[in-house]
Amino acid sequence: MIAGVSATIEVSRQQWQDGYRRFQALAAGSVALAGCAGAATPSPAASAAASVAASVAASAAASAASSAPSASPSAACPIAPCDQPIVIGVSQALTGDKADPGTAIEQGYEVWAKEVNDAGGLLGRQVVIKSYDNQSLADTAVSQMERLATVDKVDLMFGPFSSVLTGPTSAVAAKYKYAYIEGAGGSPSVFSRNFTNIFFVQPATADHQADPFVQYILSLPADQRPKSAAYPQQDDPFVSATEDGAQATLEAAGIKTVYKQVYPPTQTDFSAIAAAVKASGAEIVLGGTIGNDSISQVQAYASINYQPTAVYMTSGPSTVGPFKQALGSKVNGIFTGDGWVQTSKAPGNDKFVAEFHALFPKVTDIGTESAEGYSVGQVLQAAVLGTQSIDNAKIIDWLHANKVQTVQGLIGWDPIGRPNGSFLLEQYQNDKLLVVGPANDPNKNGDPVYPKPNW
Amino acid sequence: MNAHLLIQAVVLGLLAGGVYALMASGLTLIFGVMRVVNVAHAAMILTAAYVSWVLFTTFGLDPIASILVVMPAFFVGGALGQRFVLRHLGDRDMTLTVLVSFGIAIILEGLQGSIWSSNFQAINTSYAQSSFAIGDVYVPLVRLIAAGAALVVLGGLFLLLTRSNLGRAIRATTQDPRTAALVGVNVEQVTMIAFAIGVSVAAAGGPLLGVLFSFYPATQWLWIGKLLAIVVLGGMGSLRGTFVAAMILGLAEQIAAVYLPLDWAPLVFLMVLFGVLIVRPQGLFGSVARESL
Repeated sequence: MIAGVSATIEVSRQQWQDGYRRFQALAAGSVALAGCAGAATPSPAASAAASVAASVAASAAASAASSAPSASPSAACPIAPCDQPIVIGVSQALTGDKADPGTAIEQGYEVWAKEVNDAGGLLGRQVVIKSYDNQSLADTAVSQMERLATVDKVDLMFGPFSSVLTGPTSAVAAKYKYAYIEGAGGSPSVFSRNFTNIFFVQPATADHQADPFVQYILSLPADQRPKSAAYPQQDDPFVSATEDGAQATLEAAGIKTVYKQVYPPTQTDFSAIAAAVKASGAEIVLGGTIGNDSISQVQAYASINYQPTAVYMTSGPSTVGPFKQALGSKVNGIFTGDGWVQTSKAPGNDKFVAEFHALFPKVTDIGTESAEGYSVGQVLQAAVLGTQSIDNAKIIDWLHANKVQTVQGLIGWDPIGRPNGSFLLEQYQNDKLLVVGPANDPNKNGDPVYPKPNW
Repeated sequence: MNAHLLIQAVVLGLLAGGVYALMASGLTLIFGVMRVVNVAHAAMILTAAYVSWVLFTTFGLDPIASILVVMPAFFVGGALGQRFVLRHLGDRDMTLTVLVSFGIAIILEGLQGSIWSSNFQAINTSYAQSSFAIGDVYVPLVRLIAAGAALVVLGGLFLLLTRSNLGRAIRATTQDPRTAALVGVNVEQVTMIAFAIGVSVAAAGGPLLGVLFSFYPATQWLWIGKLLAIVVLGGMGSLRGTFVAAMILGLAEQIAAVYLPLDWAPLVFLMVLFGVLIVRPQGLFGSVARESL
């Protein structure tokens, strides 16, 4: 019951797209609530999770039957046993409070696996993604990782959604010497143990998300540059990494911190926060937001006529539909950061978008997490082809020595797996979310507007 | 911190308190009459918020005006629900109704997610972020309107309970159903109507919540915690107590948010709640119930 209900309580990140699947999670909670079948009956959500893995396996098996590689090594299949698929293990947050982004990243894995299998597999062998649902619980994820390594003896591993699960599971991957390629664990805590088997597949780590915005602010002429900043932020490791990173740079450049408060995820009323931010005299606001708090902050600022010259929000504005619907033209001027846009000009992005829509026709707006999942597959694929091997030690060495082209751009890593690229800077202008930075980014389709138009 | 900020926080707190009072009043009414802790109360408020959001985005109907649509609709739904579900359960075991209302809350949340997705929404009216200034203090127009609408509905409810035969019957049933029945009150019918009124008052809170705050299905759990705390502080079943407690919550949240670390804001209200319960376990305006064992 607790797991089912917790799925309803927590505020997950902004890409809550699939209402039906959430309903399944809730139905699982109801089953547990009834108290009669919680343990004995497999929950619908768990069944759905199992079917995710099964569907990939089925498509892999079908493709395997059609291409029918032989069991012994050859030029087309250098790694035996050629009649067996390459199994990639994942402990994924398919239910629980991270169910929506967890499912989105899993969909990215599926798109990649289908693409690879349709093209004849990896090194001539089909790819199967073996996923367990960790219910967004770190302890469950860790034990599932142990199982994947010791019982299932999977060939390779991918990471789950979010830093909270990636951190603990990375220790298991390190223990069994797997390359741990992951698309959603970017908070500094993930890299704090200096493991050399982690490869975080986003342009940069969370503490650098706001860098393009900070650099833009610092590039303003001295007479226009703001002198003070406010940091109202939600209690969340991703948010605090981003906010702390930006605050340190801005303070070093002489932009004073006049307001910094951390609010709980349960905060519903932002009017007093807005009043305090306004009273602090902050010229710019860096809102550490996750989802609906981004809307609430804007509403509260506007309702007391607080007019900062720039507003940056960590997460929320990039969920374009609901954000615009809730705020109308008040979105204009708001900055945010993201690692990927659906219209990205990165090589292969059009193909990914088309394949995603073909496989998941009901999902209209592709979540960034799906692109992250697909990129994880691209990175593994490059390393396997580069080494002509599925030996994890070779893959780790190869990834430390090479950069990989993904739909999120060209990504390379430092010795502990932190990527060295840059996030995109986005801003709403004329009710559209444009890419306005970094200056040399090929996806840039607008210039930043400063100061922000009044709400 | 300056005095102007304190005045601003007090204004915001009183306005928020008015809306909290409306949202919690149905909960206390239902408890008073039926002894049912309606855990689905916030889910019902959110359902009304979604209906109001649909009416606004599809037909352009102002959310305040949509109160006139959702209240009668939810009154009928509440009456039917009480007549065909809760009444039968209540006859067997009153505690079962708590479990059932919890189930209803989960079902409503699932339906909301299925129909409207679990993304956040807000009702963005033309006046949603307008405000006017009195000196240095800004009064958000939408909060003033919402608090005004809440007071109108609450005033109507108060008049109904104190000045009409139905209200007297409801109050009599609240105090003692058996004695009420002895003096000729049709307790079953009065209970059904009181539950329906409670649900329709909850529905009136929906559009106001939608205008003031962004929402998605799971936010019901944040709200039900807040509303239950208000009802307990005020004294379960007491409309007057609910109003006072809602104002205390509104003020505590806003003033604490200005002067204390934000994590403390909910804590301040809970400390008031615990303090009151230690001195007065029945809440500010609650009465001590004596039940036969």
